[in-house]
Amino acid sequence: MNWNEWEFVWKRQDLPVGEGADVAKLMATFEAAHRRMARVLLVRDLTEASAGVLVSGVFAFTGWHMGRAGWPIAIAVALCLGVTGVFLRERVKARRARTGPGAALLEKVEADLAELRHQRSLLANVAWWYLAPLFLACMIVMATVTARTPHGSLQRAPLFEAGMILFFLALYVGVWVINRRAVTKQLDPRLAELDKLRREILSP
Amino acid sequence: MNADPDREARFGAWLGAHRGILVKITRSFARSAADTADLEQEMMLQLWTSLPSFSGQAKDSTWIYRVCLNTALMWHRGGERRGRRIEFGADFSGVASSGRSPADDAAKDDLLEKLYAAIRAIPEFDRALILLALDGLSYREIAEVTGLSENHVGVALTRARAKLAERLEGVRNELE
Repeated sequence: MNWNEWEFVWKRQDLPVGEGADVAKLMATFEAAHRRMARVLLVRDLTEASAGVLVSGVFAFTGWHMGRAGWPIAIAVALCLGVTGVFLRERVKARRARTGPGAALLEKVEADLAELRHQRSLLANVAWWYLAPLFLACMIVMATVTARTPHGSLQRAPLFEAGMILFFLALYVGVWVINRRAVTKQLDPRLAELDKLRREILSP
Repeated sequence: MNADPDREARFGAWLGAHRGILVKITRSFARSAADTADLEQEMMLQLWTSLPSFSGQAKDSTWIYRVCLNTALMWHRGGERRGRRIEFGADFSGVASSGRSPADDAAKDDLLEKLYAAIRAIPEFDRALILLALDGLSYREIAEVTGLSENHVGVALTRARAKLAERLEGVRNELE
């Protein structure tokens, strides 16, 4: 059989015609799903932003309560707010850069690839823009508070201090490992697939 | 978000006139009944989402091909989307009657199934090109859907047809 014959077979297939669907009901379902998704995204963004603001608030209150001696905590507050700012900026940037579903196939694949590469670089460098500033902020607050506690108290015990440092280190290393795993198990395979598709599209 | 009557009318018109596009793409990309339902639902959702950005510059069918092929090509890559199935209240099962004899239909269905199986066996982008070509889109229209130049479309389509012909070789032998 040649191409024309296959084309003939293709064109003779039975396909649904006419509306036959309750469009109003379908759209109501989509709108409800859309609203749900918008709510989920809003809650996620608000949670991320407010968590940073809340921690900054607690640090600021601690610093203010300590008076002049608490000035190093201002650096910790700035670090926390900086991380929150980067978070929010990335969310806004990603939303603006997103290509609509009606883009040409090549344009869509390239835009998705660019977005994925950006996400990958953010996760791969999470230690520098997220974990390191927060770890530093925690250390600053801990050191400032400890310096004000009387000698001989539990907080001054070297074992306690080492334990706290180890606790924060373990916490941040854990977060780093989870992010690395997300890069290698999820993002890298998707990147490879999309890149393959792009090469497929562009291969002459 | 309030229901927009224009949006509803256009969406209804799209589904009414072009539902066949969704069925053909779904059948070419999904491999199981569950995947078929999942992909078709995702395409409808994306079509609905795309409505506000449809300016009317492209033909309705070109836009629908773009949205649905984008969805099909990205669908199994977005693992997080799976399992997000929405329960539809609407019924889409109505299929037009052809008026042909059952024997005729059986032979035709067999050939058509073989054609779909061959399409599913070739790389995804070639699959998209073959679908567009079988539906009779011109090189210019295929270029609009894919974002490639017309020359590139010509070359890529020749390559895709060769791959499809290879897959259909066995069918040809069977028939002869």
